[in-house]
Amino acid sequence: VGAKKEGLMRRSGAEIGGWSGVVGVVLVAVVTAGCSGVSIDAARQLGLSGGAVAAEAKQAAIASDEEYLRARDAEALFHGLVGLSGSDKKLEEILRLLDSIHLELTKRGIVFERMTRLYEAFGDLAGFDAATATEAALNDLGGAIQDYAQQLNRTPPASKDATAVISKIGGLLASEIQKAKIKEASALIRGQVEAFARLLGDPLVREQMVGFRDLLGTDRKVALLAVWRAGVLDPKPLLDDLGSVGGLVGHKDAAQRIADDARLRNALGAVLDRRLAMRQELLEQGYDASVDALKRLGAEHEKLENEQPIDLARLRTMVGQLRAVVDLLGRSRRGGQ
Amino acid sequence: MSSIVADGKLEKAEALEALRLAAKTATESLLDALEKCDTDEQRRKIVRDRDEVLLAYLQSLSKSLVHTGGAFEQTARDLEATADEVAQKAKALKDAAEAIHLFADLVRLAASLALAFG
Repeated sequence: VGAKKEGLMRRSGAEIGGWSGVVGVVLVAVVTAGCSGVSIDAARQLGLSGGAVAAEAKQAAIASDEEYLRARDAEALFHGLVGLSGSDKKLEEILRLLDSIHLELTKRGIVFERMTRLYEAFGDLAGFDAATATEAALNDLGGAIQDYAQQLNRTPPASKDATAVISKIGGLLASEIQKAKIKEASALIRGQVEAFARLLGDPLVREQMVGFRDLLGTDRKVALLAVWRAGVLDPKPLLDDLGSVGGLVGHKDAAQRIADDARLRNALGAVLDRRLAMRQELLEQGYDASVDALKRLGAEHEKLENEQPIDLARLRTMVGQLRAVVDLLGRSRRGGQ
Repeated sequence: MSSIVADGKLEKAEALEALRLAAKTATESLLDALEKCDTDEQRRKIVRDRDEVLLAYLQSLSKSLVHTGGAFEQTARDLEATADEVAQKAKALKDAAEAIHLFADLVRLAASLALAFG
Protein backbone atom coordinates (compact mmCIF):
# COMPACT_ATOMS: atom_id res chain seq x y z
CA VAL A 1 0.00 0.00 0.00
CA GLY A 2 2.88 2.30 0.97
CA ALA A 3 4.62 1.67 -2.34
CA LYS A 4 1.39 2.29 -4.26
CA LYS A 5 0.86 5.57 -2.39
CA GLU A 6 4.44 6.60 -3.04
CA GLY A 7 3.99 5.77 -6.72
CA LEU A 8 0.84 7.85 -6.94
CA MET A 9 2.55 10.79 -5.20
CA ARG A 10 5.50 10.53 -7.57
CA ARG A 11 3.10 10.48 -10.51
CA SER A 12 1.17 13.51 -9.18
CA GLY A 13 4.43 15.42 -8.69
CA ALA A 14 5.59 14.56 -12.18
CA GLU A 15 2.14 15.48 -13.53
CA ILE A 16 2.22 18.91 -11.87
CA GLY A 17 5.73 19.42 -13.16
CA GLY A 18 4.50 18.39 -16.62
CA TRP A 19 1.56 20.75 -16.47
CA SER A 20 3.82 23.59 -15.39
CA GLY A 21 5.75 22.95 -18.56
CA VAL A 22 2.53 23.00 -20.56
CA VAL A 23 1.53 26.27 -18.88
CA GLY A 24 4.88 27.75 -19.82
CA VAL A 25 4.57 26.61 -23.41
CA VAL A 26 1.01 27.91 -23.73
CA LEU A 27 1.85 31.24 -22.10
CA VAL A 28 4.83 31.66 -24.42
CA ALA A 29 2.57 30.78 -27.35
CA VAL A 30 0.00 33.37 -26.25
CA VAL A 31 2.65 36.02 -25.73
CA THR A 32 4.43 35.34 -29.02
CA ALA A 33 1.08 35.25 -30.84
CA GLY A 34 0.62 38.82 -29.59
CA CYS A 35 -1.20 39.14 -26.30
CA SER A 36 -3.78 41.81 -27.06
CA GLY A 37 -3.82 45.06 -25.10
CA VAL A 38 -7.42 45.77 -26.09
CA SER A 39 -9.28 46.74 -22.94
CA ILE A 40 -12.46 44.72 -22.52
CA ASP A 41 -13.70 47.18 -19.91
CA ALA A 42 -13.09 50.15 -22.24
CA ALA A 43 -14.98 48.31 -24.99
CA ARG A 44 -17.86 47.75 -22.58
CA GLN A 45 -17.96 51.47 -21.74
CA LEU A 46 -17.67 52.40 -25.41
CA GLY A 47 -20.64 50.15 -26.14
CA LEU A 48 -22.73 52.05 -23.58
CA SER A 49 -21.60 55.44 -24.91
CA GLY A 50 -22.33 54.38 -28.50
CA GLY A 51 -25.88 53.39 -27.54
CA ALA A 52 -26.37 56.74 -25.78
CA VAL A 53 -25.11 58.68 -28.82
CA ALA A 54 -27.50 56.80 -31.13
CA ALA A 55 -30.50 57.47 -28.85
CA GLU A 56 -29.80 61.18 -28.31
CA ALA A 57 -28.79 61.82 -31.91
CA LYS A 58 -32.10 60.42 -33.15
CA GLN A 59 -34.06 62.90 -31.07
CA ALA A 60 -31.78 65.76 -32.05
CA ALA A 61 -31.91 65.02 -35.78
CA ILE A 62 -35.42 63.77 -36.56
CA ALA A 63 -38.52 65.97 -36.38
CA SER A 64 -41.05 64.67 -33.87
CA ASP A 65 -44.66 63.88 -34.80
CA GLU A 66 -45.75 66.71 -32.52
CA GLU A 67 -43.65 69.30 -34.39
CA TYR A 68 -45.14 68.15 -37.66
CA LEU A 69 -48.76 67.99 -36.45
CA ARG A 70 -48.54 71.52 -35.01
CA ALA A 71 -47.25 72.79 -38.37
CA ARG A 72 -50.21 71.14 -40.10
CA ASP A 73 -52.52 72.97 -37.68
CA ALA A 74 -50.68 76.21 -38.44
CA GLU A 75 -51.27 75.80 -42.18
CA ALA A 76 -54.99 75.26 -41.56
CA LEU A 77 -55.02 78.38 -39.36
CA PHE A 78 -53.32 80.61 -41.98
CA HIS A 79 -55.88 79.59 -44.58
CA GLY A 80 -58.78 79.78 -42.15
CA LEU A 81 -57.81 83.34 -41.18
CA VAL A 82 -58.57 84.55 -44.71
CA GLY A 83 -61.68 82.43 -45.20
CA LEU A 84 -60.10 79.68 -47.32
CA SER A 85 -61.90 76.48 -46.39
CA GLY A 86 -60.36 73.18 -45.33
CA SER A 87 -61.04 71.72 -48.78
CA ASP A 88 -58.88 74.36 -50.44
CA LYS A 89 -56.79 72.72 -53.18
CA LYS A 90 -53.55 74.57 -52.36
CA LEU A 91 -53.90 73.77 -48.67
CA GLU A 92 -54.53 70.11 -49.52
CA GLU A 93 -51.41 70.07 -51.70
CA ILE A 94 -49.33 71.65 -48.92
CA LEU A 95 -50.59 69.13 -46.37
CA ARG A 96 -50.01 66.22 -48.77
CA LEU A 97 -46.40 67.28 -49.30
CA LEU A 98 -45.86 67.87 -45.56
CA ASP A 99 -47.19 64.35 -44.90
CA SER A 100 -45.00 62.64 -47.48
CA ILE A 101 -41.85 64.57 -46.50
CA HIS A 102 -42.38 63.89 -42.81
CA LEU A 103 -42.94 60.20 -43.53
CA GLU A 104 -39.77 60.01 -45.61
CA LEU A 105 -37.67 61.80 -42.99
CA THR A 106 -39.14 59.74 -40.15
CA LYS A 107 -38.07 56.60 -41.99
CA ARG A 108 -34.49 57.84 -41.61
CA GLY A 109 -34.90 57.37 -37.87
CA ILE A 110 -34.57 53.64 -38.45
CA VAL A 111 -30.84 54.15 -39.11
CA PHE A 112 -30.40 55.42 -35.54
CA GLU A 113 -32.42 52.45 -34.25
CA ARG A 114 -30.20 50.03 -36.20
CA MET A 115 -27.19 51.77 -34.68
CA THR A 116 -28.64 51.28 -31.19
CA ARG A 117 -29.05 47.56 -31.95
CA LEU A 118 -25.48 47.39 -33.21
CA TYR A 119 -24.19 48.84 -29.94
CA GLU A 120 -26.36 46.43 -27.96
CA ALA A 121 -24.65 43.57 -29.80
CA PHE A 122 -21.23 45.14 -29.17
CA GLY A 123 -22.12 45.57 -25.48
CA ASP A 124 -23.12 41.92 -25.40
CA LEU A 125 -19.76 40.90 -26.87
CA ALA A 126 -17.75 43.09 -24.51
CA GLY A 127 -20.00 42.56 -21.49
CA PHE A 128 -19.60 38.78 -21.43
CA ASP A 129 -16.85 37.69 -19.01
CA ALA A 130 -15.38 35.03 -21.27
CA ALA A 131 -12.34 34.40 -19.04
CA THR A 132 -14.37 33.67 -15.89
CA ALA A 133 -17.06 31.74 -17.78
CA THR A 134 -14.51 29.54 -19.56
CA GLU A 135 -12.50 28.99 -16.39
CA ALA A 136 -15.64 27.97 -14.52
CA ALA A 137 -16.73 25.71 -17.38
CA LEU A 138 -13.32 23.99 -17.53
CA ASN A 139 -13.31 23.54 -13.75
CA ASP A 140 -16.78 22.04 -14.07
CA LEU A 141 -15.54 19.68 -16.77
CA GLY A 142 -12.45 18.73 -14.75
CA GLY A 143 -14.63 18.00 -11.72
CA ALA A 144 -16.97 15.88 -13.79
CA ILE A 145 -14.06 13.85 -15.21
CA GLN A 146 -12.61 13.32 -11.74
CA ASP A 147 -16.00 12.17 -10.42
CA TYR A 148 -16.31 9.83 -13.38
CA ALA A 149 -12.89 8.33 -12.69
CA GLN A 150 -13.64 7.94 -8.98
CA GLN A 151 -16.94 6.22 -9.68
CA LEU A 152 -15.14 3.75 -11.92
CA ASN A 153 -12.28 3.39 -9.43
CA ARG A 154 -9.83 4.68 -12.00
CA THR A 155 -7.05 7.24 -11.64
CA PRO A 156 -8.23 10.63 -12.92
CA PRO A 157 -6.42 11.66 -16.13
CA ALA A 158 -5.44 14.95 -14.44
CA SER A 159 -5.08 15.91 -10.79
CA LYS A 160 -7.09 18.75 -9.19
CA ASP A 161 -4.06 21.02 -9.43
CA ALA A 162 -3.58 20.23 -13.07
CA THR A 163 -7.29 20.86 -13.72
CA ALA A 164 -6.98 24.26 -12.05
CA VAL A 165 -4.01 25.09 -14.27
CA ILE A 166 -5.88 23.95 -17.40
CA SER A 167 -8.84 26.13 -16.36
CA LYS A 168 -6.60 29.15 -15.86
CA ILE A 169 -5.05 28.68 -19.29
CA GLY A 170 -8.50 28.21 -20.82
CA GLY A 171 -9.68 31.45 -19.21
CA LEU A 172 -6.61 33.28 -20.47
CA LEU A 173 -7.11 32.00 -24.01
CA ALA A 174 -10.84 32.83 -23.91
CA SER A 175 -10.00 36.36 -22.85
CA GLU A 176 -7.57 36.70 -25.77
CA ILE A 177 -10.18 35.33 -28.18
CA GLN A 178 -12.70 37.82 -26.80
CA LYS A 179 -10.26 40.71 -27.27
CA ALA A 180 -9.62 39.65 -30.85
CA LYS A 181 -13.35 39.52 -31.53
CA ILE A 182 -13.85 42.94 -29.91
CA LYS A 183 -11.12 44.39 -32.08
CA GLU A 184 -12.70 42.96 -35.24
CA ALA A 185 -16.17 44.13 -34.22
CA SER A 186 -14.88 47.59 -33.34
CA ALA A 187 -13.32 47.98 -36.79
CA LEU A 188 -16.60 46.94 -38.43
CA ILE A 189 -18.61 49.36 -36.27
CA ARG A 190 -16.16 52.20 -36.87
CA GLY A 191 -16.61 51.84 -40.62
CA GLN A 192 -20.39 52.09 -40.23
CA VAL A 193 -20.31 54.98 -37.76
CA GLU A 194 -17.92 57.00 -39.91
CA ALA A 195 -20.03 56.38 -43.02
CA PHE A 196 -23.17 57.48 -41.15
CA ALA A 197 -21.43 60.63 -39.87
CA ARG A 198 -20.39 61.46 -43.46
CA LEU A 199 -23.95 60.91 -44.68
CA LEU A 200 -25.47 63.15 -41.99
CA GLY A 201 -22.77 65.75 -42.57
CA ASP A 202 -23.51 65.94 -46.30
CA PRO A 203 -24.71 69.54 -46.95
CA LEU A 204 -27.81 68.40 -48.87
CA VAL A 205 -28.82 65.89 -46.18
CA ARG A 206 -28.24 68.49 -43.46
CA GLU A 207 -30.34 71.04 -45.32
CA GLN A 208 -33.12 68.49 -45.84
CA MET A 209 -33.30 67.46 -42.21
CA VAL A 210 -32.55 70.71 -40.38
CA GLY A 211 -34.31 72.87 -42.98
CA PHE A 212 -37.58 70.97 -42.83
CA ARG A 213 -37.65 71.19 -39.04
CA ASP A 214 -36.89 74.89 -39.31
CA LEU A 215 -39.85 75.35 -41.62
CA LEU A 216 -42.14 73.39 -39.29
CA GLY A 217 -40.95 75.61 -36.44
CA THR A 218 -41.57 78.80 -38.41
CA ASP A 219 -45.13 77.68 -39.16
CA ARG A 220 -45.80 76.98 -35.50
CA LYS A 221 -44.23 80.26 -34.40
CA VAL A 222 -46.26 82.39 -36.82
CA ALA A 223 -49.47 80.56 -35.90
CA LEU A 224 -48.82 81.25 -32.22
CA LEU A 225 -48.10 84.93 -32.92
CA ALA A 226 -51.33 85.12 -34.97
CA VAL A 227 -53.48 83.98 -32.06
CA TRP A 228 -51.43 86.11 -29.67
CA ARG A 229 -52.09 89.22 -31.74
CA ALA A 230 -55.78 88.29 -31.87
CA GLY A 231 -55.74 88.54 -28.07
CA VAL A 232 -57.19 85.11 -27.45
CA LEU A 233 -54.27 83.67 -25.46
CA ASP A 234 -53.99 84.06 -21.70
CA PRO A 235 -50.68 85.91 -21.08
CA LYS A 236 -50.53 84.93 -17.39
CA PRO A 237 -48.17 81.92 -17.70
CA LEU A 238 -45.74 84.04 -19.72
CA LEU A 239 -45.90 86.89 -17.18
CA ASP A 240 -45.52 84.43 -14.29
CA ASP A 241 -42.45 83.04 -15.99
CA LEU A 242 -40.96 86.51 -16.55
CA GLY A 243 -41.74 87.52 -12.96
CA SER A 244 -40.57 84.28 -11.35
CA VAL A 245 -36.94 85.46 -11.14
CA GLY A 246 -38.09 88.16 -8.68
CA GLY A 247 -40.71 86.01 -6.98
CA LEU A 248 -43.56 87.79 -8.79
CA VAL A 249 -46.60 86.56 -10.71
CA GLY A 250 -48.79 88.12 -13.39
CA HIS A 251 -51.56 90.50 -12.29
CA LYS A 252 -55.11 89.07 -12.41
CA ASP A 253 -56.14 91.86 -14.83
CA ALA A 254 -53.03 91.48 -16.96
CA ALA A 255 -54.90 90.13 -20.00
CA GLN A 256 -57.16 93.21 -20.13
CA ARG A 257 -54.27 95.65 -19.64
CA ILE A 258 -52.30 93.98 -22.43
CA ALA A 259 -55.37 94.05 -24.69
CA ASP A 260 -55.62 97.82 -24.10
CA ASP A 261 -51.92 98.50 -24.62
CA ALA A 262 -50.72 97.71 -28.16
CA ARG A 263 -47.11 98.51 -27.30
CA LEU A 264 -47.08 96.04 -24.40
CA ARG A 265 -48.81 93.40 -26.53
CA ASN A 266 -46.19 93.82 -29.26
CA ALA A 267 -43.37 93.69 -26.71
CA LEU A 268 -44.63 90.42 -25.26
CA GLY A 269 -45.10 89.16 -28.81
CA ALA A 270 -41.41 89.93 -29.37
CA VAL A 271 -40.54 87.85 -26.28
CA LEU A 272 -42.48 84.91 -27.72
CA ASP A 273 -40.82 85.43 -31.09
CA ARG A 274 -37.32 85.36 -29.57
CA ARG A 275 -38.06 82.30 -27.46
CA LEU A 276 -39.29 80.36 -30.44
CA ALA A 277 -36.41 81.61 -32.60
CA MET A 278 -33.97 80.29 -30.01
CA ARG A 279 -35.51 76.88 -30.47
CA GLN A 280 -34.72 77.04 -34.18
CA GLU A 281 -31.07 77.75 -33.35
CA LEU A 282 -31.06 74.77 -31.01
CA LEU A 283 -32.22 72.54 -33.85
CA GLU A 284 -29.08 73.32 -35.85
CA GLN A 285 -26.85 72.96 -32.79
CA GLY A 286 -28.43 69.61 -31.93
CA TYR A 287 -27.96 68.26 -35.44
CA ASP A 288 -24.32 69.36 -35.65
CA ALA A 289 -23.62 68.00 -32.18
CA SER A 290 -25.00 64.63 -33.34
CA VAL A 291 -22.63 64.53 -36.30
CA ASP A 292 -19.71 65.56 -34.05
CA ALA A 293 -20.58 62.88 -31.50
CA LEU A 294 -20.64 60.22 -34.24
CA LYS A 295 -17.23 61.36 -35.49
CA ARG A 296 -15.86 61.24 -31.94
CA LEU A 297 -17.31 57.76 -31.51
CA GLY A 298 -15.43 56.61 -34.63
CA ALA A 299 -12.19 58.14 -33.30
CA GLU A 300 -12.60 56.35 -29.95
CA HIS A 301 -13.14 53.03 -31.74
CA GLU A 302 -9.88 53.57 -33.59
CA LYS A 303 -8.08 54.19 -30.29
CA LEU A 304 -9.58 51.00 -28.84
CA GLU A 305 -8.36 48.99 -31.83
CA ASN A 306 -4.90 50.55 -31.55
CA GLU A 307 -4.80 49.62 -27.87
CA GLN A 308 -4.66 53.25 -26.78
CA PRO A 309 -6.60 54.60 -23.80
CA ILE A 310 -9.98 55.92 -24.92
CA ASP A 311 -11.35 59.29 -23.82
CA LEU A 312 -14.88 58.50 -22.77
CA ALA A 313 -15.14 61.64 -20.65
CA ARG A 314 -15.18 63.80 -23.81
CA LEU A 315 -17.74 61.52 -25.44
CA ARG A 316 -19.92 61.59 -22.31
CA THR A 317 -19.76 65.40 -22.32
CA MET A 318 -20.91 65.42 -25.94
CA VAL A 319 -23.79 63.07 -25.12
CA GLY A 320 -24.66 65.34 -22.18
CA GLN A 321 -24.70 68.39 -24.45
CA LEU A 322 -26.89 66.56 -26.93
CA ARG A 323 -29.25 65.55 -24.14
CA ALA A 324 -29.39 69.16 -22.92
CA VAL A 325 -30.34 70.37 -26.40
CA VAL A 326 -33.01 67.67 -26.71
CA ASP A 327 -34.34 68.58 -23.24
CA LEU A 328 -34.47 72.27 -24.13
CA LEU A 329 -36.27 71.46 -27.37
CA GLY A 330 -38.75 69.32 -25.45
CA ARG A 331 -39.25 72.00 -22.81
CA SER A 332 -39.85 74.75 -25.34
CA ARG A 333 -42.28 72.40 -27.12
CA ARG A 334 -44.19 72.18 -23.86
CA GLY A 335 -44.21 75.97 -23.64
CA GLY A 336 -41.59 76.46 -20.91
CA GLN A 337 -38.17 77.99 -21.22
CA MET B 1 -25.18 79.91 -46.35
CA SER B 2 -27.93 82.49 -46.11
CA SER B 3 -28.31 83.59 -49.70
CA ILE B 4 -27.67 82.40 -53.23
CA VAL B 5 -24.16 83.46 -54.12
CA ALA B 6 -23.82 84.22 -57.81
CA ASP B 7 -20.51 82.39 -58.29
CA GLY B 8 -21.75 80.49 -61.33
CA LYS B 9 -22.31 77.28 -59.35
CA LEU B 10 -25.39 76.49 -57.36
CA GLU B 11 -25.22 73.32 -55.33
CA LYS B 12 -28.43 71.41 -54.62
CA ALA B 13 -28.11 72.15 -50.91
CA GLU B 14 -27.75 75.87 -51.61
CA ALA B 15 -30.71 75.90 -53.99
CA LEU B 16 -32.87 74.09 -51.44
CA GLU B 17 -31.76 76.43 -48.69
CA ALA B 18 -32.58 79.46 -50.84
CA LEU B 19 -36.08 78.12 -51.46
CA ARG B 20 -36.55 77.38 -47.76
CA LEU B 21 -35.41 80.86 -46.76
CA ALA B 22 -37.89 82.33 -49.25
CA ALA B 23 -40.71 80.20 -47.77
CA LYS B 24 -39.62 81.10 -44.24
CA THR B 25 -39.50 84.83 -45.00
CA ALA B 26 -42.91 84.69 -46.69
CA THR B 27 -44.38 82.90 -43.65
CA GLU B 28 -42.75 85.24 -41.12
CA SER B 29 -44.02 88.33 -42.94
CA LEU B 30 -47.51 86.87 -43.41
CA LEU B 31 -49.13 88.49 -40.35
CA ASP B 32 -47.76 91.98 -41.02
CA ALA B 33 -48.77 91.71 -44.66
CA LEU B 34 -52.32 90.60 -43.74
CA GLU B 35 -52.69 93.51 -41.31
CA LYS B 36 -51.91 95.95 -44.11
CA CYS B 37 -54.71 94.61 -46.33
CA ASP B 38 -58.10 96.31 -46.53
CA THR B 39 -60.14 93.59 -48.23
CA ASP B 40 -60.54 89.81 -47.97
CA GLU B 41 -59.53 89.53 -51.60
CA GLN B 42 -56.18 91.20 -50.83
CA ARG B 43 -55.68 88.92 -47.81
CA ARG B 44 -56.38 85.81 -49.89
CA LYS B 45 -53.92 87.00 -52.50
CA ILE B 46 -51.23 87.33 -49.81
CA VAL B 47 -51.90 83.77 -48.55
CA ARG B 48 -51.99 82.42 -52.13
CA ASP B 49 -48.64 84.05 -52.94
CA ARG B 50 -47.14 82.59 -49.79
CA ASP B 51 -48.63 79.18 -50.75
CA GLU B 52 -46.79 79.29 -54.09
CA VAL B 53 -43.44 80.01 -52.43
CA LEU B 54 -44.01 77.29 -49.82
CA LEU B 55 -45.08 74.75 -52.46
CA ALA B 56 -41.96 75.47 -54.52
CA TYR B 57 -39.84 74.62 -51.47
CA LEU B 58 -41.83 71.54 -50.46
CA GLN B 59 -41.85 70.12 -54.00
CA SER B 60 -38.08 70.63 -54.33
CA LEU B 61 -37.45 69.10 -50.92
CA SER B 62 -39.67 66.14 -51.80
CA LYS B 63 -37.72 65.54 -55.03
CA SER B 64 -34.34 65.93 -53.34
CA LEU B 65 -35.28 63.32 -50.72
CA VAL B 66 -35.47 60.74 -53.50
CA HIS B 67 -31.75 61.32 -54.19
CA THR B 68 -30.60 60.80 -50.61
CA GLY B 69 -33.22 58.32 -49.35
CA GLY B 70 -31.38 55.36 -50.90
CA ALA B 71 -28.20 56.18 -48.95
CA PHE B 72 -30.13 56.02 -45.67
CA GLU B 73 -31.76 52.74 -46.63
CA GLN B 74 -28.35 51.30 -47.52
CA THR B 75 -26.87 52.58 -44.24
CA ALA B 76 -29.72 50.95 -42.29
CA ARG B 77 -29.10 47.65 -44.12
CA ASP B 78 -25.33 47.84 -43.49
CA LEU B 79 -25.82 48.58 -39.81
CA GLU B 80 -28.23 45.66 -39.49
CA ALA B 81 -25.79 43.28 -41.20
CA THR B 82 -22.95 44.46 -38.94
CA ALA B 83 -25.16 44.09 -35.85
CA ASP B 84 -25.90 40.49 -36.89
CA GLU B 85 -22.19 39.83 -37.40
CA VAL B 86 -21.25 41.28 -33.99
CA ALA B 87 -24.11 39.40 -32.32
CA GLN B 88 -22.79 36.22 -33.93
CA LYS B 89 -19.33 36.88 -32.44
CA ALA B 90 -20.86 37.33 -28.98
CA LYS B 91 -22.91 34.16 -29.41
CA ALA B 92 -19.88 32.13 -30.53
CA LEU B 93 -17.99 33.29 -27.45
CA LYS B 94 -20.82 32.26 -25.12
CA ASP B 95 -21.38 29.02 -27.03
CA ALA B 96 -17.77 27.96 -26.39
CA ALA B 97 -18.25 28.15 -22.61
CA GLU B 98 -21.69 26.56 -22.94
CA ALA B 99 -20.21 23.70 -24.97
CA ILE B 100 -17.70 22.94 -22.23
CA HIS B 101 -20.48 22.92 -19.61
CA LEU B 102 -22.50 20.65 -21.88
CA PHE B 103 -19.52 18.32 -22.21
CA ALA B 104 -19.22 18.21 -18.40
CA ASP B 105 -22.89 17.23 -18.19
CA LEU B 106 -22.27 14.50 -20.74
CA VAL B 107 -19.37 13.17 -18.68
CA ARG B 108 -21.61 13.07 -15.59
CA LEU B 109 -24.27 11.27 -17.58
CA ALA B 110 -21.68 8.77 -18.83
CA ALA B 111 -20.51 8.21 -15.24
CA SER B 112 -24.08 7.55 -14.08
CA LEU B 113 -24.63 5.11 -16.94
CA ALA B 114 -21.33 3.37 -16.28
CA LEU B 115 -22.32 2.89 -12.61
CA ALA B 116 -25.74 1.60 -13.61
CA PHE B 117 -24.22 -0.99 -15.92
CA GLY B 118 -21.19 -1.70 -13.70
